Formats: sequence, C-alpha cells, structure tokens
Amino acid sequence: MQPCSREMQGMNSLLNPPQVSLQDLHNHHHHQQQQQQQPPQQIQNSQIHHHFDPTSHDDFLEQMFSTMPPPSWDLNPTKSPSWDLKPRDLSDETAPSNPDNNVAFHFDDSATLASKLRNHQISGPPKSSPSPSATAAAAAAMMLQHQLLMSRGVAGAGDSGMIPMPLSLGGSDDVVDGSSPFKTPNPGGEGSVQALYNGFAGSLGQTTNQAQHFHHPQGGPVQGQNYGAPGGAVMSQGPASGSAGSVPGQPRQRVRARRGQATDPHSIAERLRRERIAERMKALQELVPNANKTDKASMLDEIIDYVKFLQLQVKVLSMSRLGGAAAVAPLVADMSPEGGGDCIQAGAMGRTSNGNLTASSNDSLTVTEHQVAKLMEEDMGSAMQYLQGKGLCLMPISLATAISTATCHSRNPMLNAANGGNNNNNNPLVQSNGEGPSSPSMSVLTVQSATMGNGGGEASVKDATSVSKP
Amino acid sequence: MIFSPLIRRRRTSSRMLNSSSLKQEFLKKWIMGLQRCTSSNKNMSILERKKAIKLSADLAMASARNGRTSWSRAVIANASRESDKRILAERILQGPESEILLKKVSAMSVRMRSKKIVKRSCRSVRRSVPQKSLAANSIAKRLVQKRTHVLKSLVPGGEFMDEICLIEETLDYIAYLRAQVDVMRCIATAPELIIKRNSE
Repeated sequence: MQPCSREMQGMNSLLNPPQVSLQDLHNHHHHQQQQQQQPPQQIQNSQIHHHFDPTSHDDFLEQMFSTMPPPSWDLNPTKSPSWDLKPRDLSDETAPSNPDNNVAFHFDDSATLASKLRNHQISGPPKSSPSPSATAAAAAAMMLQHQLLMSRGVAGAGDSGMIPMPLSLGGSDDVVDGSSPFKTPNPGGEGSVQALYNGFAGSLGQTTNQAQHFHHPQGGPVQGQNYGAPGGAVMSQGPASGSAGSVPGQPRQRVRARRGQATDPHSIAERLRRERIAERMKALQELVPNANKTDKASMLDEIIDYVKFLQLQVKVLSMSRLGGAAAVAPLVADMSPEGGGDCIQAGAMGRTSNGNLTASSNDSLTVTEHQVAKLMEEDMGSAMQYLQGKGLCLMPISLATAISTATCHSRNPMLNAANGGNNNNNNPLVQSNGEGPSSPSMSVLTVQSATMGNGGGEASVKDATSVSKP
Repeated sequence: MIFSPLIRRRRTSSRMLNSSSLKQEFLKKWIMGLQRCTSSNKNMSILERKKAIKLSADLAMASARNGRTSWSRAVIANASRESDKRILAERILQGPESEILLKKVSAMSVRMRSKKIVKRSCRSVRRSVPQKSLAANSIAKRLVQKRTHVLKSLVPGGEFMDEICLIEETLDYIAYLRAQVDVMRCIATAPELIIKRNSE
C-alpha cells in the first residue's frame, strides 16, 4: 500500500498546477453548484480519498444507467472533481507521462483488488447482471461490514484512495469518451468492477438523487473507505489464512503461513521457551525502572544494574543502623541543617554498562566501606577527607533518597543539579564519578548519626553526645 | 510498636499482593534475629554489626518466603554452613516448617556442591571449542549470555537455574529487595520523624 499512497501524494502535487483549468472544466461540465472552492492545499490525502468515491460512483452510475442526472459537485470539494477531471485531461489533452504511469499502476492494483473483493465479498449475485435488490442487500451487508472495519481504525485511507481512483478514472473516461484507459488494460477487471458498482448503484438507486448527494458526504466517504478497508482487510486476511491459492498473483503477501513452521519439535520447544522468557521479561519490565528497552541484552543490563543498586542500598541501610557514627555527632552538627545529623555517604559510581567491572567495583566498594567505617570511629574529619579523596562525599539522607528515587525515573538531572552545587563540607552533595548513561549509578550508604539514635532510642546502640539541631 | 504505623504508610506497589503484610513479617523476624545477635555479643565492631544486621535481614526475608523460592533456600543454605549462623537461622525460622525446611536446605547444599563441580568441568570443556564470532546473532547471543551469567552471580542460588527460572527468581528477589529497602529506610527515618513530632 505504501507506494500507492506515495504515488497518490505525488499525483496530489501534480494536481495543484492544473487546478485552474480543471475548475474551468468543472464549470463547463455538469457542475450545477460549485460552492466552496476550497484551495487544494487545504485538502489532505484522506479527504481526497473520501470525496473521490462519490464522484466516481456517480460518474459510473451515470454511465451505467444514464438515467440519473449528473451529480452535484457542491458536496464534493474541488479536490475530487480535479481528480476526476485529471483523467479527462489525460484523455483529452496530452498529459505528462508520470500521472499516466501512476494511473496505470493504481489501476492494475485496483483491478486486482476489485476482483478479489468480488470473489470474497459478493457471493450471491451473479457478476454480469445483478438484480438490484440482491445487490442492494449484498451492498448493504458489505457496507455494514465495512463500517465495522472502518471503525476499527483501519488505515484504509491509502487503500480507499487506491481503489476508487482508477475506477473513477474509468468512469470519467466513460463519461467523456467511449474508450477508457480503464478498459484496455484489464477488460475483465472492469466488468467485475462494474458489477460492484452495480451493487452500489442498486443501493443508491433507492433514494432520490438529492438524498444521495446528501448521503454522500457521510455515506460516500464511508463507502469509499469501506471499499478500501475491506479490500485491505481481504488482502490481509487472504494471505494470513493461508488461502493464498485462491488469489493468484497477489503482490503483497507479507504474512507467512504459520502452518509450515511448526512441524519440527525442536523448534516448537524452542518457541515455547522463548515465549515463556518473553512473558517473564515483560513482568520484569514493570518492576525495574527505565525498562522500556525492547532488546533482551539491554533489559538484562537494566535488571542487573537494578539488582546491584538494591543490594547496595540494603548494605548501606544496614550500616546506618549501627550508630557507629557516634563520633560523627559533633561534626555532623556543623553540617547542613537539612539532615539534622543524618548523613549519607554517597558513592556515585559511574559504572559503564558492561559487566566487567563487577568484581572489581564490588571489592573496591567493600574495601572503601571498611576503611570509612574505621575512620569514622576515630575521627569524622579524616573519614570525610578519605571519602573526598575517593570522589565520594556525605549528604543528608533525605537528599539522597530524593536523588535515588529521581534517578529511578530519570538518569542524570538530579545529579547534575547536585553537581552544580558546591562541594563544601557544610553542604554535602553527591559527587558523581563520571556519571554515565547507565542506570542507577547512585549507591547510597546511610550512616545514622548519634542524634537520631538518641531521639529514636530503638536503634541506637551506643551512647552519643547530644547535638543541638540547628 | 513504633514501626508498624510507619510501615503502613509505605504502600509500594510490588508484585506481591500483600506487600505490607510481607514487610511486617520481615520486620518481626528481623528484629528477632537482631536481638538474638546482640544479646550474644555486646561489643561488635561496625562491620560485624553490619554483617549481623544484613544477615538477619536476609534470613528474615528468606523465611518469609518459607522456602517457596529458590533464592531463599539458597540464602538459608549459605547461612547454614557456619555453625553460628545456622543457629541464628534456626532461631529465625521458627515454626512448624522450619525443621523440614532446614532439612531440605541441607540436602540442597549437597546438590549444589555437586552441581558446581559439574559446571566447572563443563566450562572447561566449552572453552576449548572455537566459536564463530562473525554473525550478528552470535554476538548478540554472547552478550546475552554474559549478562545472564552476571545476573546469576547476583541472585543468590541463581547459578544452577536455567533462564526461565532465573528470570522468575530475579523477579521475586527484586520484590524482596525492594521491600527490605523500604523497611530499612522506614527505620532509618523513624527517629527523625519522632524527633520532629516531639519538637512540634
């Protein structure tokens, strides 16, 4: 369908220049009321397709029955008449070769589509001379079906555009001349197409012309789209159901028949296994933040990072319970007023996303931890210096938790903001060591201060000097 | 208990339907373990204390699962290897299922040891086989394999599972870790909140 829509657009652009002449033709020909002459630029492709159909149908019906008065063009924006008139231009005057080829191309596809439609959709009425009532019923049923299909949001704009255009070309040619390019390439197809239109004619013939025209804006586009939609739907259903044999020369079979693949037990088992894994990965996607990756490897990456992050958090939080930072208290009091004593030792590890650093980073982290714990027992200042030498620093728990939750949603902004701040001892922030694109590269160690231990009373183990909260 | 209202405030959406009850159970067992630890040894260094805390937390969580998941069993198995930890585990895993569980776990540890030996021999064989590294598919597969290996090392007891089970276990483990972090964080911020309340 893609090339068709593109070509439609190409034709659209081609239509713009000759618009004036076409409008003249409009006026000359049987346009009784030509009210709003919308500039062609306003109308989009879909509209073209929409309004294409009623005119084409009308032309065809005219041709067929020669009883209906010429359709009023007022209901159809200028685009569709220009569409119609284009083939007239082609037949009357020398037209550029491009549209000709396009026309022929569309035309073939539409013919095949029409033939398929006929085969699949209209079962009852014979093709040559359908009775009006039968075809009307069939057409009505078709229309209902098509409306359903359309309501499903079928992107049938392209399809619908494709089908009606060549048909209208044929119709318009019929109107203008006896010979039509429509007929020559595919005479058989035309007959089928005519049969289809007979059905529509039958349904349309039940109402007055005026009513028809009134219905056209809704019914026309609907019909047009329905026409396209079932064509598309049939096309997709045909190959999918594996009944490809019934439709010869179908150029667009993309869906492979599933039957032939599943005979090998190994492949079945493998497919089952893969499906199971995919299911569970989907469940994991909900748990792990930043899990919008479709690739298995990157999903695994995210999962690994997240598990490491959580494990580290647990470790740090368990350290915070120790109250070993009793010596921290006096220094802590000088620090930022936020935490009021809760300090967090934040090690931001700019971990890249390969797993090679796992072992080394884990070891180094534990070593760092031990060192810091030792230092903290003696002197907080030296502990801080040690940390800063490593590129880490202390920060209040609240800020750290805020940052960690923020990094769950977005990687870098908080850290960058924190980095933009100062590295004062008094306002501890997080320093990031080459914060990379990988995900939770923040590891948070919490150290609970003695003040908290005093206040809480439950978790404190050691006695702590009282610290006045700033 | 002070902690229960704090826990009720946290309503994280985890895979477990009863996340809050899970957390409460975890907390109870954790405190039990902590009491047991501290009562025995009053003067522990920071590291020891940290380890004790972590261990009791792990065991508490594992017991909360009651051996339904493989990783919990692995955690308990690891803990049971050392005698003092084993005592702790027994203490925490009180209940009717505990003895059965411990027996299962001990059986599992034997199995795990044998599996390790088998894996080591397999790995040595595999490395001798030359691999084509040109196709994009094979490269992608190797990436995935590498990462799966890393994940296996992270999740306790994950080395002996196939991919499907591994992912399931990871799911469970992540849920558990989250719950643990939440509870611990609650406790960490509890004194602060209490102080704030008192000051108001």
